[in-house]
Amino acid sequence: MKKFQLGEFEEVVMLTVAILYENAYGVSIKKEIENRLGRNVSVGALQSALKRLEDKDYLVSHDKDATQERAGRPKRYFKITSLGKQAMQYTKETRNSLWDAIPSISLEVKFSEVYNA
Amino acid sequence: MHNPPKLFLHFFRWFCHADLQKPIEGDLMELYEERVKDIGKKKADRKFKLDVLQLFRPSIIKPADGTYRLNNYGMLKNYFKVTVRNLLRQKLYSVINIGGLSIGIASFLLIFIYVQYERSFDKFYPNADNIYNIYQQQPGNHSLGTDLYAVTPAALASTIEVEYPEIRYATTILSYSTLLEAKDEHHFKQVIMADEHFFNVFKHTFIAGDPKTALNTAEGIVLTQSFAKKLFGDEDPIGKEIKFWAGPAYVTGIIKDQPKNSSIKFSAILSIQASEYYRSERIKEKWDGNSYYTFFTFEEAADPVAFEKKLVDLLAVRWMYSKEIPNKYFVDPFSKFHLRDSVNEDFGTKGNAKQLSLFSVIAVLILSLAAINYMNLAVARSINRAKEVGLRKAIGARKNQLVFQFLTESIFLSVLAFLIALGITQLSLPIFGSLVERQMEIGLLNELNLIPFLFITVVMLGIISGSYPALFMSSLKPVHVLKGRLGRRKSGGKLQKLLIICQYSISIIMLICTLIVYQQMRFISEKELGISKDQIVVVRVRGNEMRENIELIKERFSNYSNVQSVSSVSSFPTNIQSSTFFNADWTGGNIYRLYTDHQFLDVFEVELLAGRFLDSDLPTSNEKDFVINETAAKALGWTAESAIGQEYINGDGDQKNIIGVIADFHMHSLHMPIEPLVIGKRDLLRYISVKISTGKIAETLQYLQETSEEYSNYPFDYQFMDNHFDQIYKEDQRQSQLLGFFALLAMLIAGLGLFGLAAFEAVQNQKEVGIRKVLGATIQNIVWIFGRKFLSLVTIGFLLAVPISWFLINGWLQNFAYRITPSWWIFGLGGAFAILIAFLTISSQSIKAALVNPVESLKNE
Repeated sequence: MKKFQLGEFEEVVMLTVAILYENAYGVSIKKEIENRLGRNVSVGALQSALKRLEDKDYLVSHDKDATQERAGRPKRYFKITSLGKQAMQYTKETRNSLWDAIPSISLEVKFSEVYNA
Repeated sequence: MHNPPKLFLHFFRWFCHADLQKPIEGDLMELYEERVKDIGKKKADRKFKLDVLQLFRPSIIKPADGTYRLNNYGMLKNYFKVTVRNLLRQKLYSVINIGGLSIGIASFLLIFIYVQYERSFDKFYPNADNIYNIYQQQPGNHSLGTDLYAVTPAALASTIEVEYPEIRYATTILSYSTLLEAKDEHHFKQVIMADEHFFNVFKHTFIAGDPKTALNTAEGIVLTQSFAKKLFGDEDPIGKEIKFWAGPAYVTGIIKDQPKNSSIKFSAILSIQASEYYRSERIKEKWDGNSYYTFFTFEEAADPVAFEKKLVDLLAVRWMYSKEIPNKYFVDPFSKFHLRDSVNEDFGTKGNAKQLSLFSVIAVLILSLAAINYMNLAVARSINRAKEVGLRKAIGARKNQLVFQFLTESIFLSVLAFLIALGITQLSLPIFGSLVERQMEIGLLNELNLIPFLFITVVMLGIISGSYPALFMSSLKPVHVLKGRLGRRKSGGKLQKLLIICQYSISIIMLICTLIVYQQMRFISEKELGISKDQIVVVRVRGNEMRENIELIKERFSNYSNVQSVSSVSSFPTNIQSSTFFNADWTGGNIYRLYTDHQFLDVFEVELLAGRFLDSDLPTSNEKDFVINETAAKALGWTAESAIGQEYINGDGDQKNIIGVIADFHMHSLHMPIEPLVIGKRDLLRYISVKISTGKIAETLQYLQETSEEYSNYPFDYQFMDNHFDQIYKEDQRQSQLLGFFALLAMLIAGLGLFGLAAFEAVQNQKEVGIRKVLGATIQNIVWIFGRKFLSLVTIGFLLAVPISWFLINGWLQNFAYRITPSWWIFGLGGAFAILIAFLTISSQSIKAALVNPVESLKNE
């Protein structure tokens, strides 16, 4: 089922936006991901992901707070739409169902093979 | 507050999608501020640059020239749709507009194709750029209005080839029509006689045979493909025998037919070695005769001008006479050969360079008339579209967008008109072609390099004709327009008036010129020539048998009941080419020579002023007896009476006893004045002229033909004197016909334009007309009120046209020694005609408007 397409980074962004709730805009999302996952996020990568998600109607945005330190530029806040919520739900469920389907032995064998090799 | 690297910030602003730009820039600034505090400005700058570079990715960058391009596409579609709707809504204007443009473009195309075709002559030779021709000037030896001669001595070609290292090949040519006999069939064909270098200079494609050896022997003959097929069908023609006047020849080569745009036309090439006369001329150390055409090619990087100067020395060595050498040789590139006129004894298909430039000017004029029409109509109609402009502006269209819209519209229209014009051209090209005596076709696909030119012309036409309407309409003020307060009078504009004046000036000039040209042509055909040209058949004497039996043939002709009198002549008396110097010391210009017999006066009805004419073959006949014309007598200082019995010697050195003086008659076209003429007696002449009775012409002709054919294998070659006379003016006739045709077109286009404007004006002023009628105006009043505005413009156009056409037509009339003085009423007639047409056009519309019941025109407000 191709209904909900969510890439790995996109999923991370969605989750972060959800975590930040009312306070999700470019810089805060970037920092949140960097803090929580310890990985570097470029503005470009983040913004293009946000744009993609918005195009898919998983996120909506609105501009406010044109502040001094932002050179009079507005902040663009993001919120998850209900479609976005469904997509997250769907992703989580497919992951879970996949995890559940793994026979317990599989992982051990896999690991042992890796170690043996 | 710190500033990030400016260059990168601007770069970001430039590439970023407009929707995202502000919030992202905010993010960047926020991060930058933070980083400056945390890690210092330098590192923050670097990170900022990195961020910007990482933002430079497809989803962030605005789509390549972005949403704007998409919008333009949509707008273009909209412009197109609006254009088509407008065209369909106002069918009358559309027809006038596109019709006028199409006619204009079609005339332009016709002339363009013609001019292009004329210029394409002889370009098909692979070495066309390196072929040159030598002709000469014989100062003082003015004949037929020029002292240039295309003929040169027989040995010129071989001499320059040997003596001048810069000459690679040179060839000697003769061109004439002759009888070729193959398989017992006779064919009268145009042939060339040429020496063995011919194919080195003129690179023809050989289908069979070897160009190097084809003309090496006196018996070689090369045929064109189509002629070979006609003679021998599918047989192999190589080695086959063909008889001609010098004996048998054997086919040594077959070449491809020349294309239509070749000035040198022939069915066969014979070896010039076959001519005994040529062989004897060739070996002369000193040159006296000029009968041959000389062509040559240069070695690479030779200078034609320098070579031309060297030819003076050449002539000094070879000059035959003790007198000083007045003659000069000129070197002409072959590309000029076709359009070279007024050189005596020239050969080949000739074009007329002056005529081409005249036509080019006419083409551009007619095209501009059509463009002017478009402008005028478009500006006039702008009132109808003012609301559209206002609305577009109110919604946010910028001025340049509107300009662009109207330009697109006019380009679209001119492309549409161009397509229609292509159709018109295709249909009318055969007619036009027969008028200019060229078989042309629309070879657009063959000449791909012309397509960009035409395309650019059409687009330019669209842009030029659309530019004023576009600027005018785009500058309308939406507030005024939408309130419906467009200044109507203002829209009529000075430019519009100026354009109408221009248009009418041009078409009236063309009209007046045409009228005067026609009058001159009439004058020519009705002028008393001093010689009769009616009911005279001139039969060409061809072949030895016919020539030797000429007296017998004349006898048999004159015995036929419908023949009144018979005389042999050396040339058509209305086209005497042969001449010599007037004085024995080669000065005093030319005296023309005509040889004939004692019956000349009977046939041609020339008046004898004094003395007697040539004798018949009585014992009294003296070969020194000569008759001169009155001009010659005057030039020698005698009157007609006192000339009788005088003796005189002219350039050909024979003593002449003058036994009679005849009245002057026109022996050339009226382009040239009457000049001195001397008439002598000779037996073997080229033409037999026969005066016939009016009835049973066909039977008489048949009798003449049957009698001639008893003595000749040549086809019966005859011409009526009056037809031949008309032929002399063929070029003038053609020019006047074409001029008349295009003048009418110009009138038509101008008329269409005026019609459109008047119709428009009438619709615009419906209410005014209604009110005037209610207040008691008559139809005449109304027609006058609306007509006078246009009529005054046309009148101004006429006033401008008079001096210009006077100047132009006077220049043209200077070409004629005998010409009319254009009378004032012709100018008046031209103007009156134009004004009448204009008046009818306008009044048809104003009457229509005036007839409408005021109730109709006033009911909605």
